[in-house]
Amino acid sequence: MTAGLSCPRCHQDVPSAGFAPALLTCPYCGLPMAVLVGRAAAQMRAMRPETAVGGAATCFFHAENAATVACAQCGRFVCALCDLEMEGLHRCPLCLTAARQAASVASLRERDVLYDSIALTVAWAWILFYPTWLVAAPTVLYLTLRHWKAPRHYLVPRGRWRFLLASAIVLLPVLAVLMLTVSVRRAAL
Amino acid sequence: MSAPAKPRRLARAWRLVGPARWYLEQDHLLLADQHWWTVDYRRFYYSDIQSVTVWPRPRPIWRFAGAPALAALFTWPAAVLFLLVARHGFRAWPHVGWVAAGEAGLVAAAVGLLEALAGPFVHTRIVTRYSRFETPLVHRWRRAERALRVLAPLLAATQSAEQESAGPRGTTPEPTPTVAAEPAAPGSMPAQMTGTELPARTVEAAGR
Repeated sequence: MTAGLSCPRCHQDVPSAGFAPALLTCPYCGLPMAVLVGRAAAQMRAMRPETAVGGAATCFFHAENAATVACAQCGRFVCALCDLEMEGLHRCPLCLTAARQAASVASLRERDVLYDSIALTVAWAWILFYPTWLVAAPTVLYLTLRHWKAPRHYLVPRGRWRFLLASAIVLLPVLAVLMLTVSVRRAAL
Repeated sequence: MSAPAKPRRLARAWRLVGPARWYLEQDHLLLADQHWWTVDYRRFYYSDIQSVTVWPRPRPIWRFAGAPALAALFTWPAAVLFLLVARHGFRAWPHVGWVAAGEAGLVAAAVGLLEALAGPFVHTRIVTRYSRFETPLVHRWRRAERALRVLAPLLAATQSAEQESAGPRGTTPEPTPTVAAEPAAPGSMPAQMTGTELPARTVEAAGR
């Protein structure tokens, strides 16, 4: 079957079978491809909210549409058009936007800042110009203490070894100075 | 608050700015796209995916010539030293230069060979109902088919289930008028009327 697949190089239609991954070669330009074709319909799903009749409850956003569900957060009645289901909860567009901004719903989270990677970069970067250790060490320790739990709660959780390694690197000079002081004192005694 | 469970990783593509990791979630394919110190997430729902196409990127010559060129850059002082010392004496020094150049050359050849064996990098295009997105799914071409093989059953299961719930296409029964058990009274509509066909009398009345 032809599944609307086009060659990425010459943009010609390439016939392919669905679901089973296949190794193909474009018959026009000879580009090898690994292809997996689904059966999702090309057009968007039609949303046809029902028209409110008589004393039926209407949508908060569309007065002419019948309400189908109440928002799980704010309780507003919404029609099929405004009903946004995510993680089993029905929300209205306003609540979904708020949840998206607050990143309170995992399925809506779009970005994480990797504080552990920042700490690790700051930790080794001071070696290039070592007087900056005076700034780097407190920064790394602050990041480690402030965001210690963060890697566990990224959307894809990570280990904390970066924080530990970063702290160890910035604390190395302190350790070195301590050892030097002790050895000098011993020598003086 | 407990930490979320780590999803199963499908593939990973390395880049200078950070890796692009792909995870298999229950109903979608999650792309964790790292750019230095942030990671952006993008979701491709199995029910929406129309096609995934992976194709090899042409390899520029510097992928093979880069390592030898770099080795030459670092070893030319040794080579110059060898030439100078070979002309002006110091018989021990030439051997030092040859050994250094030989080691660098071996490393360069090994890097070039590994590059040739690893195969080309890839591009990936994912077409969904709503968007078209291009980013590498895997790092090397040889891993492409394996990644698609893992993805295929999930796509098939989700989309087949969706099609079954929506009903098979092209098999919708044509509307047929049902014949009433008893003959209708003259001038009245049949008791049961399904489909679009109207009785000739009603059509005539509408025409008038």
